[in-house]
Amino acid sequence: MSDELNQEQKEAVKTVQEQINQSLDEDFIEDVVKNNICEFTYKEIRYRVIKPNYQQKQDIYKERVKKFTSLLKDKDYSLEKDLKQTYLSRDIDIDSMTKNIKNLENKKIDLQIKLGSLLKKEASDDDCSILKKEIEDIVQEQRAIAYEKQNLLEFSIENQIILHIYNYMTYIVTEKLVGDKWVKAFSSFEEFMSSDEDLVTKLAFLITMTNRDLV
Amino acid sequence: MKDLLATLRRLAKNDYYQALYSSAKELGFQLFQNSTDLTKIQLWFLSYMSMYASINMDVSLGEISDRVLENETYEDAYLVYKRRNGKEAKKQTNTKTSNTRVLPSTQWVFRKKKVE
Repeated sequence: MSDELNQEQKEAVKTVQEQINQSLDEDFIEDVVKNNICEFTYKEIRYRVIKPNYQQKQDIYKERVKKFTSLLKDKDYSLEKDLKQTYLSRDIDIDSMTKNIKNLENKKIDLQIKLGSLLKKEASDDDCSILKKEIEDIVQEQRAIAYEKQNLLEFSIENQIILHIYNYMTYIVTEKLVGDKWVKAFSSFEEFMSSDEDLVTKLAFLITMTNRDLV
Repeated sequence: MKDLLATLRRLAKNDYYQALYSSAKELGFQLFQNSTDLTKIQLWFLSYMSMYASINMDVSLGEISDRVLENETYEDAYLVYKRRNGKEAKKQTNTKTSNTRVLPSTQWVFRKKKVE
């Protein structure tokens, strides 16, 4: 596998970043920052994400154990360490990708120190711009490798569980306003899974940003 | 829509939030509607506000020119440089301290008087 990233991979990273962010505008983010209760309107329905209570946290934990046990029994899924071995037999070295990201980080820090020093000395714009470009290239390369690594490990049991639990948690903690009362937004997990992608993206964002230490 | 972190940085950097942040620090009022149980995004926002407050302070003290605020790459680089320099300075101070004698050269030893 080549260490250099091709144009296609760079484009893929860009597309994913755009997809993640397209439904989140600045006003929405500002609102989320101001308050830890998150409400928004989607297709004329008022939704909110609540902080899970003890019972809900227990339900989420039980679901996690259930899913893990079921995936462990399923021969189609592999643990991350086994998946890494399989990739290695096909000359794809995930650990070396991790090392590569780390090495790039060290290289970036060195360049940042140099650039910081130039800025402090009020060096010319040209000198600063060269280092700026080098740093930005490194960041882009790191992102692309991380994206590739994440894609390769997407099918591991560990990642499948994270994905499932985020979905399940979103289903558990989302409410909608009916009249003047907040009620559960989805009657079943299946209903949640078949809802609009835009709505799910917005809810998933709120869940990941507003809750801590849940997954 | 721009990247989430870039949006948070932009908000934290603007004059309104910077003024709010410094007033909150000085006068002790709360920045968010919730005073406890801060969310992940609020913690990130606080950290960005503190970062920009630190850069703005250095700019106003003449430590660095306001060119540093031109873009995120300059801002990050300056902070990494500043942190590294701070660590180096601390290390040098610690070395100097460990080389100097803490106890005076003459030490008096007090003994208890033997009970006969």
